[in-house]
Amino acid sequence: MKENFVYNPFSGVLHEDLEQVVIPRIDIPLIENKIANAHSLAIEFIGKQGRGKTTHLRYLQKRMPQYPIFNLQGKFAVSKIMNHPSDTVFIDSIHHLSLLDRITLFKHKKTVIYTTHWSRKLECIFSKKKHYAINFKGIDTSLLQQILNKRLALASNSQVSEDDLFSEKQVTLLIKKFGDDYRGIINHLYEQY
Amino acid sequence: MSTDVLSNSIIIHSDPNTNTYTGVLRIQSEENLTIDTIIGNVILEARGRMSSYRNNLLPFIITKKQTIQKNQVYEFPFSFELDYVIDSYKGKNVSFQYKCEAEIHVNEDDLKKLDRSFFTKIGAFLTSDNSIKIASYFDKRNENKQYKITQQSEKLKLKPSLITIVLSVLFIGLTYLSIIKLAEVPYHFSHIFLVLFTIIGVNMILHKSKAKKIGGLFVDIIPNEHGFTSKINTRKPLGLTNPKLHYRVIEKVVDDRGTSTSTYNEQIFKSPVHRLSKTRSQSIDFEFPSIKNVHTLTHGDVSFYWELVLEGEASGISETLICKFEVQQH
Repeated sequence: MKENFVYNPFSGVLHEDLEQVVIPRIDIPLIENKIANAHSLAIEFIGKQGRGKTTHLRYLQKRMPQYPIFNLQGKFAVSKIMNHPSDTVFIDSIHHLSLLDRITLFKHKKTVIYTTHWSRKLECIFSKKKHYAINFKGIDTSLLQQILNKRLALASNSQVSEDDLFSEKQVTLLIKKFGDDYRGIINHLYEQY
Repeated sequence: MSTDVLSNSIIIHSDPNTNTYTGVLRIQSEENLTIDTIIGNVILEARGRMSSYRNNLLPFIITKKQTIQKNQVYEFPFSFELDYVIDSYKGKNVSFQYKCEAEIHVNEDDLKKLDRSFFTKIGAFLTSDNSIKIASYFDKRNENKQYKITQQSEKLKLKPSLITIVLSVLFIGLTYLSIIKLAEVPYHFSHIFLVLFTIIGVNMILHKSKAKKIGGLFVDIIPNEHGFTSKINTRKPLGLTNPKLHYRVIEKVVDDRGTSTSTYNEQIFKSPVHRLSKTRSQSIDFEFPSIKNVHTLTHGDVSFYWELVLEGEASGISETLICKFEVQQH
């Protein structure tokens, strides 16, 4: 690891540090408003792996801690979610639930905000739930530059010099190599640092 | 009013032979302040190619009800005992670090004297509950800790051979194509499943047949003065040519950030390789590695595991048998 950092700046971000690192690329106030006023709604964060869906889900849930977040891995009993008293739930990786469980969830919870690789619109229609999708694709050079430099600053044990920061040219090269695969970029930089 | 009212630092000293840590919190203020309490906390941070997390391990009181006169330096010593299973560690895909945090609760009557928009150079920051937090990372390790093994008996299990799988896929694939051509049977989508099941079935049979030929192998792992002895027990002579034995330590990190999961296995130690004879029972001595703090452990998405690896050839193909074993550190 490079010497002027307390930890690798491209390691996983602590829950406590999310606001210091994340620059949302979605309209957070709009989504918060939809969640607050929804009668029956599914908000879908959809996109390929490594595009920032989970990070944005966690960021949003941190701003609304009164609603629980469930990080699904492998087989997961939907009863754990159904038995939670909250009518609004955040679900990471909803594909770990079976089709039947997803429909049950959509029918019984007022608002479900979830991440997925594939659209669940049909299941929402079947469950008579309004569906609002946010597509995570594409990447903004300036935004990525800011995010990477924020990570450097947070992990640094002293003031980060101009030379240490990512330039626009460096970021452009990263995007040329990895496209909009943000996770791929972070994993690559983890190796460098 | 100055924008840098309160400056502070924490210094931690550790005794490498014990679990006792001493520290000093230094404070200097540009205003007279009343401090209600200063609370210390020891935190474990696990960061890496994974969902990083922190565990609050040990809260303690550093001091209560202090009046700070402006422009004077105050020192508050403290100490704590930290006997946690994990030591500081910097690996390929994960690091474990320890942090001592001091939370300074300034009396509410003096809060207006502090500039709430300013982040001090040392890294203190104002939390939403109006306390000021500062932190310092420190190294946690105890040089007196040694690896320890309790006697255990494990079975060496044959790993599926990639070469066998590839050869079987080629053989079955070519056989299928030949049959199709000779019998002039038209291709059909369902044939894929037939071929797939055949490949799986053949590989299972081959695997069982190889395991039988090599022989049931058990290993007793017995502690000795500098490490351990691996005593291989077999009912018949080893069914492998050029058998070799070594052990390795693996750092395993599961990255479940996002909607898919990846696993990173990094070999962080490999012992010297010992050649074996083909006799029924034989013992090999191994020493413990010089690297510390990688005993058998699972903590969140991180695990360290130790495994014995027996390699050799059967019917000209390289085969590998593996068993995991437990190692503690005290």
